[in-house]
Amino acid sequence: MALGATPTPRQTYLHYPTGVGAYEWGGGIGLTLDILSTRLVESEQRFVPRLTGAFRYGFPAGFSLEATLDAIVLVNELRMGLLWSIDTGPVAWALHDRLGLWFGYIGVDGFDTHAVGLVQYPGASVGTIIAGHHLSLAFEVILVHAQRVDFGDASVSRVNTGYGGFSLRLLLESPVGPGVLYYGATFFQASPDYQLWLAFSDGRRKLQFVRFHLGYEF
Amino acid sequence: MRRTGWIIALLAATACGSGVWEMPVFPDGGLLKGAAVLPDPSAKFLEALFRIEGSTSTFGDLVASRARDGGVSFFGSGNKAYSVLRPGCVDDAGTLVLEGYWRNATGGRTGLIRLFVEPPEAAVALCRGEEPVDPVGLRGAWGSGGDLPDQPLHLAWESPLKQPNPPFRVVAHRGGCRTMDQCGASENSLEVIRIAGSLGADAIEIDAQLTADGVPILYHDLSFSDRLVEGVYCLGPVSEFPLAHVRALCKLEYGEQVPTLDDALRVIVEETSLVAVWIDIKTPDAIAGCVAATNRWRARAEALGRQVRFVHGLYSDEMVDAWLRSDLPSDAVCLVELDPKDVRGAGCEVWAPRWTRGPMGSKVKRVQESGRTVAFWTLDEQEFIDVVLTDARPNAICTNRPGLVFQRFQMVGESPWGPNP
Repeated sequence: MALGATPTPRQTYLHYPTGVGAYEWGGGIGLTLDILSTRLVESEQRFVPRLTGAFRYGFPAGFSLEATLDAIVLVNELRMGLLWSIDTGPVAWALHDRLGLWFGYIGVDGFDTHAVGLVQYPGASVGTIIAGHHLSLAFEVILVHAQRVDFGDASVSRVNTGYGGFSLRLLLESPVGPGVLYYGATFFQASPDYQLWLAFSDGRRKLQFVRFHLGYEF
Repeated sequence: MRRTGWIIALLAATACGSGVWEMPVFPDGGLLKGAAVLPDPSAKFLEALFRIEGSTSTFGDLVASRARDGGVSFFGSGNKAYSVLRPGCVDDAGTLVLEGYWRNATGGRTGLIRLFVEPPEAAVALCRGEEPVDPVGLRGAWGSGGDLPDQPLHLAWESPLKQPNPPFRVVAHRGGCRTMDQCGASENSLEVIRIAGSLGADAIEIDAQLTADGVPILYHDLSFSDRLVEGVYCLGPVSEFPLAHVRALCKLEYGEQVPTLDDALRVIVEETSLVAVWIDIKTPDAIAGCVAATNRWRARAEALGRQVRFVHGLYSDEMVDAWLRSDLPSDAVCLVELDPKDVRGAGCEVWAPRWTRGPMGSKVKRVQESGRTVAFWTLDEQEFIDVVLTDARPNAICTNRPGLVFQRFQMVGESPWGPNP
């Protein structure tokens, strides 16, 4: 680096385990699309698209703070969490714990319903860099702590911790211009009612579905 | 390449198939093999609320029992467990035994149950077709999977069942249960209609639409797909398949035929004790055919001395308009899922709101006092069932968990406000 030149800021990555350094931050916007099978959600294939915004801020010693907001009115979720990461050469590792507050409203014909819930997502991720592309694989457990549904003039609340399933996400972050394009998919095996409580039955069998991710980080 | 290979393998390993539930049975027919049939009137004396002593984590504290179509079923709230048993008299009618299976409706747990009626004097009286002097209890055991029952179970008589007036009806969704609920038969099949009573239903809801040659058949989705049917050439809009092709190409998940509405109404009238059927008509062009079928089977029911109410479900403005435009017999009974004003406007007798609108207690009471009945759909969760039963006091609830709704009504329900029978 030439003396006096402005250093080029290091590119940040929202999803790669060691994607932000100390006191660095990154943000991103994107889309997610859940595809739910007809075997589990009745007569038609259900596509659930959501807008998503994410933020990550790095602290010393590998820690970083994360926040994500997914929104489509019907179901929205604000997640905040803490992540600790370490680089071990060819791969980077991270442990995280996130808390999600989800909330939704259905006011279409036949519904007069609000719902909120509190979900925890502890997990771990591993990543590696291939030709400049940051590949990461993240595993999360879904713990459901509380749910409340207001339907018309009545409401029902539940407060207890239950295992809601798990998810496995494979994501690639590729530098594009000044930012990063990310794309990937998450496989879920989760209780039908861990989220989208109103749309599904009371079955205890785990629901298998896929969520696709596409977005841009800056 | 190798790196992505293990990821794909891991995903495949976690994606287990849905399978179908198989009812466990006693080897060699159990004690019921060769047992004498319990006289019909005696089964009614086994209907009660029983307190479970031991094994409450599986069955709950209190179970409600019901006798239907030659069997006796027990319904608990714990884990949504239910048991379907058949009674028989053995030891020269000195012992009354009930054998069958139990099942957790929302999970995969199942097993065998064997219970004996006590005291012995009560068993003798029941096997003779007489009323027992004292309330009955049941003692025996339950097991897991196909294993013989080995865990003690005691059902102590708690109280008689509520007899609401006007009556409250449990309506089983899709003929008894949905295919995904794995109750042992496919939704909208003749087989599920035959077991609906033993699952806790007083009445059933079924879905009807037309084949390409104009025959009303039972099927929920507007297209055949692997969600409900098997058959390589059974894919696509139902309305494009003539009945002969449906019969030849399509099998329901448990291997049953897709039934015609006439087949289904015959089974309801001739083979079950169901008191009502709610026919959810899926398309306007099916209205006339459905009403014609119910007319035929209403006449047959009357000839048999059976009281069966045939209700035609209209779920949208389009369906209500089509109903009003149709030239139908004046005594055809209809149900509207929209608002009470739509029910009045269509001249229908039943209002069927979706439960997600809330219990709407005062509105329900007004509708009932106007001489119409109210049936909420489709409620499966205990907390919501309890709220609707206590706040709305409906005439019926349509559910995928008929046994649970029956048990909850016995626990917290009250008679509807009206209409008087």
